[in-house]
Amino acid sequence: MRSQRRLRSYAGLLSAVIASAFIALAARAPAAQPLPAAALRDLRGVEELKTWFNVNTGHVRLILLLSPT
Amino acid sequence: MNGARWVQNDLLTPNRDADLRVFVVWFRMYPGDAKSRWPRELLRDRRVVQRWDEPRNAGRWFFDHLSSLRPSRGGDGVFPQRVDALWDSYLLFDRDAAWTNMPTGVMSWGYTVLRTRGKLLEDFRFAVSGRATPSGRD
Repeated sequence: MRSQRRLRSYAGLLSAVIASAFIALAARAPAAQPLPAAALRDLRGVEELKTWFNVNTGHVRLILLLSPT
Repeated sequence: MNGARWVQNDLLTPNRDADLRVFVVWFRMYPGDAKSRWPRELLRDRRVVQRWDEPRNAGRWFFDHLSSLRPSRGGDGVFPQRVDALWDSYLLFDRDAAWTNMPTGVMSWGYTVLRTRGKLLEDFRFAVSGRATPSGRD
């Protein structure tokens, strides 16, 4: 009986420690960060554009040269 | 940016089944431009490939070679001024276009995209209708 009670108290203590750790980690994480710009891959020179162009022979192709603002 | 929005809303979305492939090269032209400002949600079409070109290689290349291209349906007479790269511009190619030293099959080009959008739409419709020939002549 006593050992069961001790076990429960250890389990409670462990839960509290884990919960505190999660809260601490969550507090340190920046909220709603924008996705990294790395999702936009860098052009590997005009050669990459040329390769894409020739791979897509048989389709109408449109090249757009744009700036982001 | 408005040009890209127009392409998505007025060219790609109403023509979901059109046999078209699009390559968008983004690069800095204004002081505020940066890769982090890329409008990722703007062009959301599976036919579109997008890349960031920090050294502006593609824009410079087309700026340098624009006079050598032979657009079958007319090139825009207006060039970007006091810059070293072709930007805010489109180049449309027919199905048979190929690129060895220079790209062939240019149907038309325009600067800016918005200013020349009527021409782009007209030539796009012509191209996807299958009437474009290798020589570009009717």
